[in-house]
Amino acid sequence: MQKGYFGKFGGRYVPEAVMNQLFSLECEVDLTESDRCFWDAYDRYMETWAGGKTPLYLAENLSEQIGCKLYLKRGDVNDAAFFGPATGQLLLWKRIGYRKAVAETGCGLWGVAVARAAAMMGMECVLYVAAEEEERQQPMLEMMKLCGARLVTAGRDSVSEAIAYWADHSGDTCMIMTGDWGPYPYTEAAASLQKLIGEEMKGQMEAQEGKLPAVLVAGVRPEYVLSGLFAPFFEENMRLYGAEPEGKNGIRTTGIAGGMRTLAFQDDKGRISFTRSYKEPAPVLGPELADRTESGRICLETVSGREAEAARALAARTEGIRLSWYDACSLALAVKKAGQLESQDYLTVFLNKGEDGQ
Amino acid sequence: MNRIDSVLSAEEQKECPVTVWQTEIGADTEWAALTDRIENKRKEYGETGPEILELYAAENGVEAGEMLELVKRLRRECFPDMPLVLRLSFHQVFRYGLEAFTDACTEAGVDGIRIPDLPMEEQPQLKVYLLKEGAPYLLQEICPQSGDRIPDVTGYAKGYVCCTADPSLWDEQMEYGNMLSFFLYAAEAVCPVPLILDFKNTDRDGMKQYLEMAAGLTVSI
Repeated sequence: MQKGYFGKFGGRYVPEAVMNQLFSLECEVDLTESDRCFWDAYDRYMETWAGGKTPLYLAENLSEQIGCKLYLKRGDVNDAAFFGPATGQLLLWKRIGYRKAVAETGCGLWGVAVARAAAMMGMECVLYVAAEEEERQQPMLEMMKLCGARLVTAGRDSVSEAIAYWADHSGDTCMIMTGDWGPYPYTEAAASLQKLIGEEMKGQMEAQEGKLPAVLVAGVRPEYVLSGLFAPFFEENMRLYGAEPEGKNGIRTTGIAGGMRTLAFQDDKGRISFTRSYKEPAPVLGPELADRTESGRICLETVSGREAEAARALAARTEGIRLSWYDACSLALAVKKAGQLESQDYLTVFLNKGEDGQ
Repeated sequence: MNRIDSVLSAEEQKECPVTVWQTEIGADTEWAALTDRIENKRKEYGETGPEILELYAAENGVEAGEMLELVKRLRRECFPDMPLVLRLSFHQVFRYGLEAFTDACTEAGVDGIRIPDLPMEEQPQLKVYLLKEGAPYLLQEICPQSGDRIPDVTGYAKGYVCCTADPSLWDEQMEYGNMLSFFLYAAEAVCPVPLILDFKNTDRDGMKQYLEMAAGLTVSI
């Protein structure tokens, strides 16, 4: 396989001005693989700042309702699962020597994650915010500003605008890519960080049930970094599903976006819009996820708004748990799959931070 | 012979720097207005030397196919001899189809293509189709941050090499002098083809010190 590619997806489609930065990041990612100092620092941030390990909860009432044992991995109870990729990237860049970062945020929460992590590490931060989202995301924008981030209003392609800023300021500024998006080696870096959450979940499931679930479901948001979260399960005999809300954009086709070759929704002129509401499917998939989807290892399935609403209500009524929209989609999909399982099987749904940070 | 080579080897180039006029095109581009704008800039600058026209897609989104149609018209109606360079994103090229795009460029009379988001490492997939006779040149870009990549990036460059620079570096002084001068001095030493400055600075007097190490500069119109 060509370096930096997952099948036909991946690569480095960025301006020349940032290529040497990518090589620095690649070296740093390689070095940190066996560097205890980095992982100690990262673990310390995750434990003491982001909240540490999250529980695996047996949702007994829900299980009774759907006729199948269901676990919820409560990544939603603290910041670790959502903030991990942002914090890890910032930590890597800080080690290389950068003190300024630029990022884009589509529906707000990723921007909050980057702004908070940057503030905690004493780094300056510029955030490109999609103009269409500005009004709806006011509380989150306020939080970003409180953390000292400078906000820039972007058009429909906020990622390209952020990359252009990065290229123009690459002398002293690094780029924080959203979740599993980005040119090589961003995807690898994000996946290796998020893999820790997957391993934590795997250990908990084996400890509680003595075996792995037949089905694992998580939302298809770039911030979830499914390629990392699911990584410990790729070789296991179980089905992996990505759930997302129904959209009006048809199917994703191959294109170049966010510095990578991947699957993206495109209009009839080939334009890719990164503006994304939390109720719409992610416009672009990370390259590894795109490859795993094409190969069939991860199945992406959509859920209607009505099904998601019903799942949200069900979780609230039976377990007193408030689900984000994507997690409601995950639960709705899990409910559909529950009917296909053998009686001794169980399933797990991964929950993460929601659209309003709850 | 590629028109870019003809222009760059012209005798007059030795007297006056090359000017690359850079402008966006879209479905509503008025050709007469475009030629007027170039004419006005020529008057403003006095002598401009040999000229190249670089076109990029308007913000509202123009597909590669539409751009090529516009270039064909431009070539036919306005600039039969001026070298034309097309600047676009790799996504536009990829969507059109790599081989189909290079063939269409040749047919439309495009002399050079500039794809800022296609670094050296990703270029082989396109270069294989640019080996055909009459195919446009894939122009290379370098910048101060390229550092030790400059010999590799420029090693097989054709036409000219575009030198870009982060505005924050324009006045940066180093122990041994101005940062940009040092970059251009090093680039000129290893680059087998002329350098063209694309510093987003149209003040030719301000660029004078750098033009000693480059064949010309890019001017937005």
